[in-house]
Amino acid sequence: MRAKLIWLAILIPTAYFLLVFLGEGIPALGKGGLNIARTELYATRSIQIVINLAIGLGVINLFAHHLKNIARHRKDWIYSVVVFVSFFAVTGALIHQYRIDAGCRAIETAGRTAAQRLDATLAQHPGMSRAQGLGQLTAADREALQQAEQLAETSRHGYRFEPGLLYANYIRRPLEATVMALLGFYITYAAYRAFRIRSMEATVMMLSAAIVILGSDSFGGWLTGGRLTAWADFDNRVLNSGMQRGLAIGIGVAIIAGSLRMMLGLEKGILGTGQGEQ
Amino acid sequence: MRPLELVQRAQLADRRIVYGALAVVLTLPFLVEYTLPIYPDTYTRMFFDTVEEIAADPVEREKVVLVLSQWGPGSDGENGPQLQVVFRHLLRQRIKFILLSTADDPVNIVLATTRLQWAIEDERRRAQRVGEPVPNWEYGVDYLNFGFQPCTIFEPIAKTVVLETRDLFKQDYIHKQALTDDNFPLLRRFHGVEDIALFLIVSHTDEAKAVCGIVQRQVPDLKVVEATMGIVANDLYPYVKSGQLSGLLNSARAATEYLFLLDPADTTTSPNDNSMSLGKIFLLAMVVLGNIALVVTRRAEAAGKLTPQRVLSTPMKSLSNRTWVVFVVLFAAGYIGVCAYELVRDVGSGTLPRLRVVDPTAREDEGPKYERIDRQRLRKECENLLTQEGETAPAARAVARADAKFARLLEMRIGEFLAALLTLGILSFLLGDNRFYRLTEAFMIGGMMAYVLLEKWDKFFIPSWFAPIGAAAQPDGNHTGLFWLVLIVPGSLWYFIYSKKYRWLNQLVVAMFIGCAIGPEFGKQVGIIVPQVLDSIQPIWPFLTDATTGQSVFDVERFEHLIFVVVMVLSLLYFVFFFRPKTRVGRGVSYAGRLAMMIGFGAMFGNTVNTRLSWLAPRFGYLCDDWLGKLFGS
Repeated sequence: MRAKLIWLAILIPTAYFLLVFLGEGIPALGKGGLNIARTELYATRSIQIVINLAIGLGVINLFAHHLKNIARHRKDWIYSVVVFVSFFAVTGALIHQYRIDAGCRAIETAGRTAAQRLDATLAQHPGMSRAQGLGQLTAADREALQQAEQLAETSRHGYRFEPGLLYANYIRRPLEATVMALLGFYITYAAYRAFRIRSMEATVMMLSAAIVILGSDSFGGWLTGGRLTAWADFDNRVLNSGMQRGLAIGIGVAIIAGSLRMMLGLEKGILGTGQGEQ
Repeated sequence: MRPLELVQRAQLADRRIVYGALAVVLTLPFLVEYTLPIYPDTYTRMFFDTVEEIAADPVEREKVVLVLSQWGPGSDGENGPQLQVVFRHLLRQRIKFILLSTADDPVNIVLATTRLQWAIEDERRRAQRVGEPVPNWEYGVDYLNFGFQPCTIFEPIAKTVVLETRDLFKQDYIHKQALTDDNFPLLRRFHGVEDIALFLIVSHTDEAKAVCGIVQRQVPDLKVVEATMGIVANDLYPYVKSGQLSGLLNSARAATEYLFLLDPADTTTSPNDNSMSLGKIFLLAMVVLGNIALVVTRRAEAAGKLTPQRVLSTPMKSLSNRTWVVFVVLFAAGYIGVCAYELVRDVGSGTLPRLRVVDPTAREDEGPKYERIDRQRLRKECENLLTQEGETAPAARAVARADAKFARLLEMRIGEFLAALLTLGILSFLLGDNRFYRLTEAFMIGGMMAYVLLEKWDKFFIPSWFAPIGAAAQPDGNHTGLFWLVLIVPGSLWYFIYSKKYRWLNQLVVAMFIGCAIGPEFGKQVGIIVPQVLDSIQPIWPFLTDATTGQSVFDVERFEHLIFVVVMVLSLLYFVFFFRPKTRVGRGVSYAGRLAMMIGFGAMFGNTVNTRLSWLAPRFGYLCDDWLGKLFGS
C-alpha cells in the first residue's frame, strides 16, 4: 500500500508535466474553460511553496544538533555556541532591516497617496500652480509628500544603514567565495600528484588540457600572438563540443529511460520496497 | 641528501609547500603590475553581437531583456564579473532590462543587485573619464528588479519564468510594489514573451538547457544566451553550434574579453586576470615537474641508483604547537598592525580611501588606483555635480550628500576589514584544521541559516503564499484563494521524518519532488536532443563549388563540422557495449573513440582549472588590492 502511494506520488506530477508537454497548443475547453497550459502557473507556485516548506527541517536539525552539543558539553561545543550567536545576530540584523524597509514603504505609500490627491486637485483647477495646490492639501498630506521626497533623495544620494546588505556583501560573500576558492589549491596539488602521463590517452588528454588552459588565457595568447587562443577556441567549439554532443545524446536517452522506469514504478529503491515497508 | 633522493621525495612533498608557492604566485601580479593583450573567442563575440544587434534594431529596442541571475557567492569570481560587464553593455546601449532570479538562496539576488549598482558606477566613472555627460538610469523606467522566486529545481518553473513572468513575480524587489504599468513605466513595454528581445542567463548551472528544451520548443524565436562557469560551459558548447543558444560566456576570462569588446581602447588585463593566468601556468608547471620527477625516479630505481619508493601518499602532518603559536602571533600582530595603521591614517588626516576619480584630461593609468578624500573635497565635488545638474543653491544639499558619501566610504572600509579577517580565517584551513577556521565556519553556518530562513519568509512566503490567503479570507475577497491552504498538507509531510511510525509519509513528499523533477525532463530532453541530432545531420564535404568561377572552394565551417561529426560519432561508438570489437578495424575505432573522449576530457579539465583559478585569484585580489592596496596605495 505504501509503495503504491509513493509510486502515485511520483506518477501524478510526472503525468501532469507530460500532459502539459503533450497538450501544448490545445485550446481551452469552452469559453473561460480549463486550459492545461494555464494551470502551470498554479502548479509551479504550489511546487515552490511545498519545496520551500522543507526549510524548517534545516533549522530543526541545526538547532537539535548544536543544542545537543552544548547540553552534553561535547568536544568543541563552544563552536555550537558561536553558531547560535551568529544565527541570532543575523536574525536581529535582518529584523532591524525589515523594520527600516517597512517604515520606508509606509512613507512611500503615504507620499504616493498625497501626490495623487495633489494631481487630482491640480486637474480640477487647471490654472492652479503646484504651490497653490499644496496649499489645498491637508497638513498631513503636505508632510507625507515632504517625507517621501526626502526619502527619495536619501535613497539616491544619501546613506542608510542596511545590516542585511552589509551581511550579504561583507560576510556571506567573502566566506562562501573563500570556501569555494580553496578548491583552487586542491586542484593544483592534485594535478601535481596525480596527473601522470603514462599512456597515449593521458598524453592526448594533457595536450588538450594544456591548449585550453593556456589558450584561454592572455599569457598564452601573448606568447603565440593569439594562435594558441584560436586553438583553444577550436578545441572547445569543435572537439570538446563534438564529444559533449555525443555524451548529451547518450545521457538524454538514458534520462528518458530512467524517468520512464521511475514513472512506471520499476525503480524499487525509491519506493522503499527493499526495506520491508510494503 | 643526494639530488636523486630529493627528486624522489619531492613527489611526496607536503601539500602546504605547494599551497604556499601557489599563494606567492597568485600575489605577484598585485605587486608587480603588467598588462597583456586580450583575444576574445568566437562565442564571446557572438554573445556581444547579439546584444549589439538588439541595440541596432529599432523594433527589438522597444522590447526588454530578461536577465536571469542564478549564482551565489561561491561562483562570484566568475559569474560576478560576467553579470557586471553584461549590465554595463545593456546600460550603455540603453536597452531596457529586468533582473530576476529563481535561485534557492536569497543572497543571490542581493549579489546581482550589487553588481548592477557597480555597473552603474563603472559606467558613470567611464563617462567622467572620457569627458561625456554623466548618465543617469531611472529605476522602473530603464531597468527593474523583479527579485527572486526560490525553486530548487529549475525545470518545472522554466516555462512559467519566461511565459508568465509578470504573474509569477508579484512585486518588485526594491520597493515591494505591485508589478503594474502605473507603478513601473518600463512594464508598459513588457506584457508577454513576445516582448522579450533576449533571455540572458548568468548562472553557475545550465539553465539555458531547460529554456532551450522546454521553452524554445514553444517559442522558437526566443533568443537565449548564457554566461556561466568553465565547468558548465563544457556542456553548453553544442547548443551554440546548433543555434539554440546565441552566445556563451565561458568563465571569468570571457568577462574580460567582453569588456575588451565593449571598450577596446581602454581594456587590457587587470592584476586579477594576470593572477589567474600565473596560477594556471604554475599548475601546468607543477604537472610537468611532477612528470619529470617520476621519469627520473623510475629510471634511477631501474638502474639501482635509488631504493624503490612504495609509498603513494603521505597524510598531512599537523603542525606542532610551537609552529601554530608562531602563526597565531604573526597573524595577530599583522592584522592588528594593519588595523592600527588604517586608524592612524584615517583619524589623523580625517580622510578615507576610495577609488581615484579620474580627471577627464588625464589617463587612468597616470596615477595611483586609490586616493584619500576628506569631507571638504567631497562637498566640493557634490557642489560641482549639483551645479552641473542645474541646482541654483547647491551648498546645503552638497553638505548632506557629502556626509552620506563619507558614511558609505566608512561603512565599506569597516566591511572590508571584516571580510579580510573572515577570508583569512577560511584560508587558514590550508595549514590544517584549526580553531580560527572552525570559529569562522561556525559563524558562517549560523548566519547562513538565519539569512535564508528570514529572507524566504519575508520575500517569498509572505507575498506569494500568505498574502493571497489573507486576501481570500477578507469578507469581500475571492474565496478560491483559500485553496492555497491545502499546501500545508504536502508541506507538513516533510516533518514526518521525525516520527518513527509515520516516517514513510516523508517519502511521499520526496517522491513528489522526484516526480516534479523527472516530469519536465521528458519535454526538455526531446526539446534539446532533436535539434542536436538535426544539427549533426548536415553536409560534411568541406569543398564547395563557387557558383561564379565553378572552382572548388575550401569551406572552413564545413571542415569544422566534419571533424565535429567524426568526434561525436566516435564518442557515441565508444558507448556501444552490446558487442565486443574483435577485428582490427573495430578495435581501432574503439581506440579512436577513447582518444576522442580524452580530447574532450582534457578540454573539460582545462575549463575546470579556469573555473577554480577564477574563484581563487579574486580572493587574493581582495586581500592585496581592496584591503591592503587601499591602505598602502592611497
